[in-house]
Amino acid sequence: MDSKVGPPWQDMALPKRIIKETERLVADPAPGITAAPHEDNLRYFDVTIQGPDGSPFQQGVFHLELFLPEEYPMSPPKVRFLTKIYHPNIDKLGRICLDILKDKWSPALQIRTVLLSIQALLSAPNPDDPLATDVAKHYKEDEKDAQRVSREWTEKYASN
Amino acid sequence: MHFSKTYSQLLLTLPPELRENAIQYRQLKKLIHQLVQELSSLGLSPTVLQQLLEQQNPASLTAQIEEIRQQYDRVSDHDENHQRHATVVYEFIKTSSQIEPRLRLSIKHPADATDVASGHTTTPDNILEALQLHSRALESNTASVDISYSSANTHDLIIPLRSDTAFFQLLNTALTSLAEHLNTVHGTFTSTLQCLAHAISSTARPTSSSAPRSFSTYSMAASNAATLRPSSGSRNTDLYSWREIFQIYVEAEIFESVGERTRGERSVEETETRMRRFEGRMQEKRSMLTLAGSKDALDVFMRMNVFILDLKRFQFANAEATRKILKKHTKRTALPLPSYLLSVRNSPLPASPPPTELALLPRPPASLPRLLVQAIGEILLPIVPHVDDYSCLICTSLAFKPIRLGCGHLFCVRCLVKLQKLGKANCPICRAPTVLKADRTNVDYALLNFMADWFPLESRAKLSTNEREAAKEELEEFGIAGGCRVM
Repeated sequence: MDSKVGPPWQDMALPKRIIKETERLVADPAPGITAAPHEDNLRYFDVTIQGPDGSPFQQGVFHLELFLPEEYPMSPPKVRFLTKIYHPNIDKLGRICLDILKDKWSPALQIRTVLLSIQALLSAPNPDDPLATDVAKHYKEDEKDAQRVSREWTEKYASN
Repeated sequence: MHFSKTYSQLLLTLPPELRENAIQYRQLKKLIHQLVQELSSLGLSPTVLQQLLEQQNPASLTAQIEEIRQQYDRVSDHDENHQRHATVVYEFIKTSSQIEPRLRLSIKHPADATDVASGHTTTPDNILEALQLHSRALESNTASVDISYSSANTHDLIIPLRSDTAFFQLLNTALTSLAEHLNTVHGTFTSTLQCLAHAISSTARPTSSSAPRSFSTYSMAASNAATLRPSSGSRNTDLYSWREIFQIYVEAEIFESVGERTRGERSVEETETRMRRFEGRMQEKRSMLTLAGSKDALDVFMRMNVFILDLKRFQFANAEATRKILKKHTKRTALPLPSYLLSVRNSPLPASPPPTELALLPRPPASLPRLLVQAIGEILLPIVPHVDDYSCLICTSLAFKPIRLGCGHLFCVRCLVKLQKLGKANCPICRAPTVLKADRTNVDYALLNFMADWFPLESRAKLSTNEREAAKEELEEFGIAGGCRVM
């Protein structure tokens, strides 16, 4: 059978924008953030974010995965924490509650800006818009104690 | 190796007009030596001064003064009960023409002043005599010692320091003429740069100067790519070569880093390495230039950059020489220089600038190499428009054809159509609800012509990508998934 399928790299072809973003992420990374694409899937990134100083996540290094869907940049990247984290806007599965990853996404945003926003979310938890309701409750009722748990988790799961 | 040797060797590698304006390190060093001798002949050897200036305890200060006194006045009628308090101040008097450093010895007799008033042999008087002898010995007409009675029982003894005056005179003159010279350099550099800018712009002309205009408001059918065909291999312009050269130059980050973690001015060594690498790449690119004027212009451009590097090395060496000589001054004489004199030269921006009356030495201007690099960025590089400045924020390619939304933001027609098809109403940049309102009338024709003119290749490439994508989308809308499959 003469099967003529378009060469795989044509479908695999990466938009120029993704190539540019990747180059810059690797060459000039934002402070406290790394992102490296998988060799076999250039739309899939291994990400690390350092816990911001002054937050309960300080000294922690958190691993995340980031995936650029076919529609990117018209649709937002999919981002998830792989490291366990005690944060009112991040649930057990590592899913993140952040408006720009959902309805507030704009194609003018980039991988870099998304990761910076996530880093900022670590500094400024928002228990009024929770994803992990129990953690949010804890944060609202006894912030000090909740931060203590966040620190413990950081120590336990996010220190290399 | 001694600094003075390293310094003079480094100066030899620099252009003579820079070398002539360097700090005379050796001569300054000689003057420090003379100053030490001058002070020693006053009995103020570095060790003595050191102790005098450092001692916080008034009693031991007095003791020190006593020691000095005794060196000159063996006929000591030293009264054990006299509790004398003395201070030594190293101060600068700035006259219109020069800086006169001097020592102020204040000696206080708290017990009884009558002894002083009676003109009885007292410490300062004896030192005074000694100093006058000393100044005669030096055959100096400037070294005179004044005694003033600031209060009833305090003697102020002022000792002008002749060699020190000469030291500051020399250093000051050198720094002043250096500052003047650097001003001239800045001026000359800028005008050379403007000539070069002129030369390059005539070799990097847009295609419209050789080909007829491709666009008018009436020829806007989406498929008129044919009329867009630029004279890409134009023999009349080196536009693309210059664009590439400037691109390489910017990316080389020779003098300054623009990286997020390492922003700022580079060290001399780093700059040298990067310059060599850039020179190597330019050797290859030189042959790409087709016009004779272009090659000459590139040579001038390279020379200007080498000059900035020389200047950078020169300024660094000079600052280092100034810092070292002032440090040596302190170390050899034990005279404490005001701390700002020692610190400003280490950091480009002093934490707090000294009050004007204390600004003894002219400060070097803000890093001149930096200013020159900036001038290249402002005068030269904009001659060739850069594609990044005209690209669509969404697809990051040239925003062709350019659609200007009601809010003023610019996107390529392709990305805008995609946004509209997805029903996204808000501008991706400012979130103003302008996307769905955009239509044919939002095409920015002036910009479109400009792009076709300055980015003929990119315009053409973008147009055909757009067409390919649109066709593919159309097929998908008809329900035919993916590319064409023949089973």
